[in-house]
This record gives sequence, C-alpha cells and structure tokens, in this order.
Amino acid sequence: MKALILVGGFGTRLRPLTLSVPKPLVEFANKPMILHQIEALKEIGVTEVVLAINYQPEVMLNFLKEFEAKLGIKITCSQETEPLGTAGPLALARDKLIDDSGEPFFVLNSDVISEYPLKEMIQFHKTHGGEASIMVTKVDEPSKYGVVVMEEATGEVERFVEKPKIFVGNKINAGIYLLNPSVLDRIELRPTSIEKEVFPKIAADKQLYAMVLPGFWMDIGQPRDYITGLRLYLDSLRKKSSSRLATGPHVVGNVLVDETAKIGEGCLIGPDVAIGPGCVVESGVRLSRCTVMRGVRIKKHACISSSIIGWHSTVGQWARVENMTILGEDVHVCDEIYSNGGVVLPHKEIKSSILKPEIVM
Amino acid sequence: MAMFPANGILQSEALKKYIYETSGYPREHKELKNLREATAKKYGDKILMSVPVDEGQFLSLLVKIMNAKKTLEIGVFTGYSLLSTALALPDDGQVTAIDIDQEAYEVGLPFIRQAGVEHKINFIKSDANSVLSDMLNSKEKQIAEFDLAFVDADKFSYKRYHKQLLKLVKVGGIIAYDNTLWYGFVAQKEDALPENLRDVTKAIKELNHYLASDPRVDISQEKQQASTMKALILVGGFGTRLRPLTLSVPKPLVEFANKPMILHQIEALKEIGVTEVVLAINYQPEVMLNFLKEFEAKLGIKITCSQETEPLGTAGPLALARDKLIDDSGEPFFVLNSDVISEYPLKEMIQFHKTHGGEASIMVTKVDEPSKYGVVVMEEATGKVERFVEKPKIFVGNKINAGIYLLNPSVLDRIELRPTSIEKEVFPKIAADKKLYAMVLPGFWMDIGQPRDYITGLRLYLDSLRKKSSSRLATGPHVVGNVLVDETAKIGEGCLIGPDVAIGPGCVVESGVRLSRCTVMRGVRIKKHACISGSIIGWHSTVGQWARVENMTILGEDVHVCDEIYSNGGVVLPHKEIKSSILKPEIVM
Repeated sequence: MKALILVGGFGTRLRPLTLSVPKPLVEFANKPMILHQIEALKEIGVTEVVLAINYQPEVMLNFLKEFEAKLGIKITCSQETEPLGTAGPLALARDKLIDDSGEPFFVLNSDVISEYPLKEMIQFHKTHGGEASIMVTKVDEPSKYGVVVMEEATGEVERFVEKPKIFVGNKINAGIYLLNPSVLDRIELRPTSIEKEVFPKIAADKQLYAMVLPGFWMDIGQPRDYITGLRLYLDSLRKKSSSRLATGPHVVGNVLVDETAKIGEGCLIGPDVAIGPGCVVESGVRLSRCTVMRGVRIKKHACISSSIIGWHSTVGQWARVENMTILGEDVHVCDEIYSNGGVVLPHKEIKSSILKPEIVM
Repeated sequence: MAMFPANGILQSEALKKYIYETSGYPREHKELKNLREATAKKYGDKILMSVPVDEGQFLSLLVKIMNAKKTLEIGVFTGYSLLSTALALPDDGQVTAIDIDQEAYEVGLPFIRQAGVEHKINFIKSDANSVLSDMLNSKEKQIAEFDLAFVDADKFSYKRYHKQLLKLVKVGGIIAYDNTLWYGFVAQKEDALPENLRDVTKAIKELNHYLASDPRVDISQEKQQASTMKALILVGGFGTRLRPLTLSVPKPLVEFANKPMILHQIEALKEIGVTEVVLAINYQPEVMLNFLKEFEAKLGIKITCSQETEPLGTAGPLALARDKLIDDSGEPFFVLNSDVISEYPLKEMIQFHKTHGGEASIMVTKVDEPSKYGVVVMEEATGKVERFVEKPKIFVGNKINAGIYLLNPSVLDRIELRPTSIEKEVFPKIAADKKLYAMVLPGFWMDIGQPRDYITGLRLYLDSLRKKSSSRLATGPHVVGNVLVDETAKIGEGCLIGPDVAIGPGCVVESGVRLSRCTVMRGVRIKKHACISGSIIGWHSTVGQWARVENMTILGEDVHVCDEIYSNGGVVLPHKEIKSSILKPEIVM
C-alpha cells in the first residue's frame, strides 16, 4: 500500500522555526512532525511513502535517507516546480501511487496530528465500497472552516460548505484521505484544490464517504495550535503508553523528557511540556505548556510558559518567557529578561525585555 | 645585507602592468602578440612558461647590441623568445632552437612564418643534452661559434648545459639563464617552501652559487618583479542587520550596485597587486566557498577562507589566519571590513605606510556626529595616532576608524588567538608605542551593513561612479540623476528612473514605473505604474500595478506585493505575498 504526504511549501506560519529547518522536520513532541505520520503509515503496512514537496528538497532528502534505513519503509520525494495546490500533487505523483494491485492509497496533510486510526479507515473504506473516504473531525466553531455535510448513518457525503454562515454541521475536513486509484483520473496536473474541485464531484457521484475521527486532531502549522496540539497529544499518550511520560516530584501533568536531557533540582515542570535531546534545565526552573527543542539550556530560576524555545538557544537566569514567545535557533535571552510574546529570529541575543508581542529580527 | 633582497612592496602587479602597457605591448611586434594570444588560448596558466613581453624586448636588445649573427636557444615552448630573437637577428642570422616538445613549437610556427623569419630558425626536436654533445663531438667547426645562448628549460639541467655552453659560445659572448631567482623561492628557507618545489629550488640555488664562483664568466643577476601581497577581509557572522536579505544569502554575497559586496573589495585588492585574499568567516562556509571557486578563476586571485569556530572579535581572526597572511617576504598585509564601501585608495595607503615607516596604518574618515563612534585622535601633520576614544562626550576629533588597515607582520605577534577587539586592545598598544599612523580616507565611505546606510551608500557610490566612469551609468529621457542598470534588465516606456537607483540582471520594469533611491535585485518584476522610493526589492520579487512602496521597505527574496498595495516601511521575509497594505513600518513574517 502507498501513501502521499502533502508537505507543501515554505512553512512561513511556523517561522522563525522554519527559517532553520523545513517544516516537516520541525520536531513535535520530540519527533520530527513528518515522522509521526510516517510511523503511523508503516504500522498499518504502507510500504512506500511519497512526499509532495516544493521547497528545500536537499534537506528533506538527506533526512529521509537516514530514516528510510531506520524505519524500513521506502520514502521518495515528488517535487513540484510550481505550487499545485492540494490535489495537483497527486496527479504529479501518479506513477508512484498506483500499481497493478488496484489498492487505494492514503493522502495525509503534513501539518496534521491525530491518533491516525488508519486501520479503522481501511475497514470503513472497504465496507462502504465507495471511491474515496475522508476523515472529518468535530469542532466548536465550524464557521471558520470548510464544513462537510454528511448522512450520519452511512457517512455518505452530501456536500462541502466553505465557512458557512448558518449552522449546517460541525464536522470539518481533517486532512486524511483514503482514495481509490480512479480518483487520480479526476485530477489534472495543474494547481487544483481537492476540497473545492475534486471532492465535490466525487460527492455528487455519491462515491465519497466521511468517517468521524476518534480522538484528538490539530493542525499544528502555527505556533498557537502547535502548543495546544502538544496538550492533546500528551493527553493521548497518557492513555496509551503513559510509561513514556516523565514522573517524579518535579513533574506536574503530562511531561515528555528526552532521556539525554538533564533536569536540575527544585524545578517544577508541566503540564504539557516537551523537552528535547541534550537539553539542560538548571535548578529552580518553572516550565509549563512549552516545547524546549534539542540542545537548549534554561538557566536557574527561569520561568517559561506557553512558548517554544528553538534549538541550541539559552534562556537566562530569572528570565520570564511567556505568552507565545517563539525563539528561533541559537537565540540567547539574557539574565532577568522578560519576553511577552517575542518572536525572535535565529542567531540573536535578547538584551532588553520585550514588553509586547513583536518580531525581533 | 642579504644577497637577495626581499621584494619591495612597490615592485608589484601594478608596476608590471605599467611596464607592459607603456613600453611593452605598444612596441610588441604583431606576430609576437598573436603568438602570445595563441599560447594563452591553448595553454592557459602555463603561459608562465613563456617569457613575458618585457623580457622578449630585453633579449631582442641584447641580440642587436651584440650584433649577434648566430644564437642558440635551449627551451622553446611556443616560441615567443625564439621569435623575438629571430626578429632581432639580421637577415642572414641564424638561431638554433632545441626543444623536445614539437607540438608547442607548432603553436607558434604559423606566426614565425607570417613574420617572415622562418628561414633564420633551425629547430631541432630533441633533448638539449644530446644536441649539445653532438655539437661538441662534431668534426665541423661548431665550437665557440655562438654569440648568444638563451637557456629557458628544465632547471635541473642548467648546470650541465653551462659546461657545454662555455665551449660553444664565443669568448665575449653571452649566456643567459632564465628563472634563476625562481619567483623568489631561492630566498626562502627550505621548509617554508611547498614540498613539490624544494628540489628544483635547491638545483637553482646550486647553479647560482656555481655561476657566481666561476672565474671564467662575468655575471649579472636581475629580478623580475612579483608581489606576493596578502589581504584579510573580516566577513564575520550572521548579517542579522541586513535581514531579510541575509536570510537568503550570506551578507558578503548580497549585491551592492549590482555586484556582490565582497567583490568590490576583492577587485580593489587585486588591482593593486594582492595575490591572495583570506576571508575570515564564521557562518555558512559552504555557500561562500562555492561563490569563491567561481570568482577565483575569473579574477585570477587566490581566495581562501579562515573559519572561526567561536567568534573571535575584530582581531582574533588575524591570529587565526596568521600562516596565510605572512611569508618570508616581510610585506605588510591589508585588513578590510566587509561591510565598508569606499574608493579604496590602497596604492596611496601603501605609499603612506612606507613613508612613515611605522608598524600599522589605518584609514580614518570624517563624520558629522563623531560622538556615536570610536574617534581616532591623531597628530594632523604626520598622522601619528595618539589614542582612541569610544563615543566621546566632549569633542576630541571628528575622524573615525574606517575599517581599512595595512599592518606589518609584527602586528600579529601582538594578537592572541582569542576573542579580541582590534580597536580596544591592539591598536591602543601600537599607538602607545608611537607606531600607529592614520590616513584620512579621500572620497566617500559608508558602512552598508544595514538597510538605511545601504541606501545612502548607493547614492555616494553612484556619485563617485559619475566622476570616474560615467559611461557605466544609464542615460536617456527616462533617467534622472545617477542610475545603474544591468544590461540584461528591461525598462518600459514612460518610466522615470532615478536618482540613485540600481537595477540588477534580468529585471523587468514595466511601463509608467517611478523608481527613486532604491535597489532592485536580480530577477525582479515591477509592474505598471508602480512607485518605489527609499527601498530595497529582493531577488525575484514582484511589485504589483499601482503599488506604492516607500520609506525603507525591504522585500526579501521571492516576495509578491499585490496590485494597488501600499507599503510604508514594511520589512518582509522571503516567500511571502502581501495582499493588504502595510501602513506603518513593521516586520511581516
């Protein structure tokens, strides 16, 4: 079985992190975003994953070589020379996605994290016998999204409504599809939207079915949702394999700590914190709702919440970092500095406090 | 006093060029020129094996002064010296030329024919040793018959040839050996030499000694000028002040007036004879190294990188690059700061340095607000530096460090390999020893490491270009003031461009566009009726129809400003689309 992951472009919403590394390789819960999806696919027997990319192929390909070997799954790239939207890349990768077996293939969106109930989705797909299956997820404010209107009992999709003004339903497209090879015949090799052009046609032919995604779902392509997403992910991890979470008197709630990280005395870590490899958290540090990337040093008595600290950065003694502060790679926040939502580009030193959210370049 | 005095710093590429252009090439015979060009075309760098134009002329003069009729040449290559000799010989003169490489001789032969002197030449394809032995053993009266012998061949055999030539050349004749100073290597210690040159250098030194102690000959040894001057350019770090441009490209490679910043400096150094430039960097060496390979070949100057593993400040990098900066010549070396643009009066600086005889020279420049900088307090008459004052509160002077230094090798003994500031730690010590002198930089100066100064700097640079080579500036009814346009850029009708604008390669400026005080990088498209001022438009970006872009708007690479958008000081990171106006200066990420 094959799969395509839509990786897309420049990842500008996740800057400054994506100024150092292409978005799929930015770690989430201590693992590159794309690895979460590749592992889920491998687990249900996918043998080949195609990454549809249009930016920094060399970096991606180097990473992949490393993981192809480790994971024992074939990973290739399909590179767009012009942006092809959300459906065009499928046409571009056509030859890689279908073979004579006639099996359906998965399409995933690289920004999405969820529990990936892919085995259940295969079963759902076989049962209804239609041409395409999509995952949908329940949200509180559907008017911000594209809503999928479906028949509750069978899951058959009636139509899509972009940002509905009146209530038509509360399920939105979760960005996980399982498609028969015949879907590729509906897609031309040009910039095409799968939601606006392809799925409505399949729905009109009564061949599109939607399955409600059990468990959590988040589009972590921007910092605020990345931080919320970590909470959901760690909640789920607590239920499934809580041994991976950290324990101890210094831990509150769900906390993930890489085995090579060091945590000093008198710290209070959590809830909803991920600490990456090689990090050093000195004594007396308070961390909550934040991600600390590889190689970061947090100095004594610092207090960090709702923020992302980029690779190899340092946060000074008694520094207070909060409210969606995002530090890029190699950023050094001096002692006693306050950052309220500072967004700092790589290789910078912060010597004076950032009192309101702003970009520091 | 050493037998082989070190090459003086004025005996340089510039002087060589002067000689060639004044009395060399203008008097060079047409066929000699053709031969020289054909040699360059086929052999490229190996043209060094051929004698240069001034040596050909010297040889020719020798032949004429001596009224030489029969000469011998050992080592022909493509025949430049042979043709020079043949042209100087009388019509019944004869030159016997020996070389094992006939193919090279055949490169020059057509020109020898065209010059009408082929009949004077007897070319023998052979190793010289057997020909000379044959001559000596021959019953025919070949002995002591040559007026002049010119030896320019494999150096290991020179000593052997000498014994034979002493018998073959007349008493009162001349034997000339080329390359006995071997690019100056004879004056260096053996372990300072590259390994592959040690044996030949040793052989030449033995020959020189042998000749000098031979009572049967009078000798005269002359040196060919060759400078080995070096320079270090402090490139430094991340270039964060020039973001978003430096998010796409390392700072030294960001173009200024349509040329990478660092190329302005490298070209100025090459022009005064610097043979090797070391770039002190600590960021993105691979990108820099790729660029350099391309330019090393084009410019004919050696460029290497010295990479800091930790930031070493403004002096530490000199210590790190020590081995590359000094050799046994004892020549001073330049240090430039990569953010600086100016007219680079480096030749004058060399003269200034020689005249005062101190250890270090620095360029200073006059500014209006010295209190923002480090001021250099100096004795006006001599330029001797008394002290440095950082951001002085009272007026102490209005000259600041311009970031251009000429330093004797001994300065390196004052710098440890650790983060060090040249202004705060090194120069004050040299000034205290009364060995530091400052020269006031004539012409413009600007530190273009941030956008505002980059834009001002362009104005100064174009002003200077107007005075020196105004033909490079654009002209036409659509041009106002100083404007530089790459030849591959296209400008539509009804535009008004300038003053102080630079438009890079492949740009398309559609009709009715107004541009002033801005830089447009490679591959940009400006759509109709747009109006841009005081801004920098990054590579491959587009500015939409009727868009208004002003007040220090800096667009990174691949930024697309939609039609009718207004940007007041927007600073936009690469790969963005601007769909709504930016009303006040802000960063768009």
